[in-house]
Amino acid sequence: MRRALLRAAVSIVRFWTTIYTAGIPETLRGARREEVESDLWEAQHDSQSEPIRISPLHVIARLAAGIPDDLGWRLEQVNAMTRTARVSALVVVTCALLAIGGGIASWMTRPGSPPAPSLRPLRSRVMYPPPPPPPAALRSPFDKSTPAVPLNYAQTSYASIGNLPLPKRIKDVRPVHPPIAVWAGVNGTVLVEATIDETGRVADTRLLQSVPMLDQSAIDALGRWEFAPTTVNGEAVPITIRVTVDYKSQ
Amino acid sequence: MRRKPGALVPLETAICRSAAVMTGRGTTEFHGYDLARQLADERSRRFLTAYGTLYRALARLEQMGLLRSRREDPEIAARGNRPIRRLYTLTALGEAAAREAAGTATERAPRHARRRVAPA
Repeated sequence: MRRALLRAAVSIVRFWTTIYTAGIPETLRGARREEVESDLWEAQHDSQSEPIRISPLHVIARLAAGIPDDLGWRLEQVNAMTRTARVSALVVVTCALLAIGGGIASWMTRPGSPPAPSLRPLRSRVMYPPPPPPPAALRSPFDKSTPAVPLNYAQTSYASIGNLPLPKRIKDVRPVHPPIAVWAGVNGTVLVEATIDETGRVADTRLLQSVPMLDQSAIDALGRWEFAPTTVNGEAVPITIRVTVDYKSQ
Repeated sequence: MRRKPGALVPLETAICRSAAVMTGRGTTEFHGYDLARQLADERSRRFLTAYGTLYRALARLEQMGLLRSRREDPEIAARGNRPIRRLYTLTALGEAAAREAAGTATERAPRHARRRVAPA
């Protein structure tokens, strides 16, 4: 029972974080969500902590006490955005609130839910069997009853831009498919334009096609690639390549 | 009331002091939960600082240059089967702020020590 309450409390914190970071630029949004996710995990796996600190009450108390600061932080980010971005953020939050309202309404009227007292006679109430448990691949990585989520890697390929030859990669770092993205079922292709300097190191990256929860993993890996310097007329030159990073859960 | 530019609120000062203590113990990089635990232990509190309060203060301190942060290597996090941490380091400016805060705290003598000697 306590574990279920703790999971519910953690879900509420995740849900609130998703709401108040909606519409914020991806870098800030992703960073904030990651930090809160990490805090939740650390608290649940802190064997030296006082028991009260891993109780559902403590998790909810930390959430509730910080709501004004969450909203203050959001206001600061929104004020720093352009007008267009602010309107988009407002639309996203409105849609999120409508989705919540719709979700609550459909949960209240789900089959098997107790009818409102004055609406339906008892004889016509239909009871459905409980849904089957989720498959193992969709269980939370925080669920200790299942084995650890295996490490998945993305497939990469690259092509040079312009007339310069394809540079030879001498150090490859495979982008990790973040376990939290695997658990959420997030797959996709991230396209990145990378500039390689004269020494063969990746000097700059630019996202051409973004997939939330996967971008940073692609950029982190690409940043550590190394190439043999590209030479033109005996002189090392910088070169730009387009990298395709394909994330697919197995 | 708007705060003066560059001024620190008590929580931010406490964060700098806790970070200085952790750095002194050899933990040069720490994440938000570590800091929240250190803050609570120093102040003998059972409850940790709220998520919103803590991470907003950390972001502000980073903006002011008192802390520096980096995203942990995703491979290390994946091997530990845990979410990626954001790791903070106290900068030289932050160390100076922590020292100044510690110095201000010790200079402020308790009122009962300043006794007036009554005339005979």
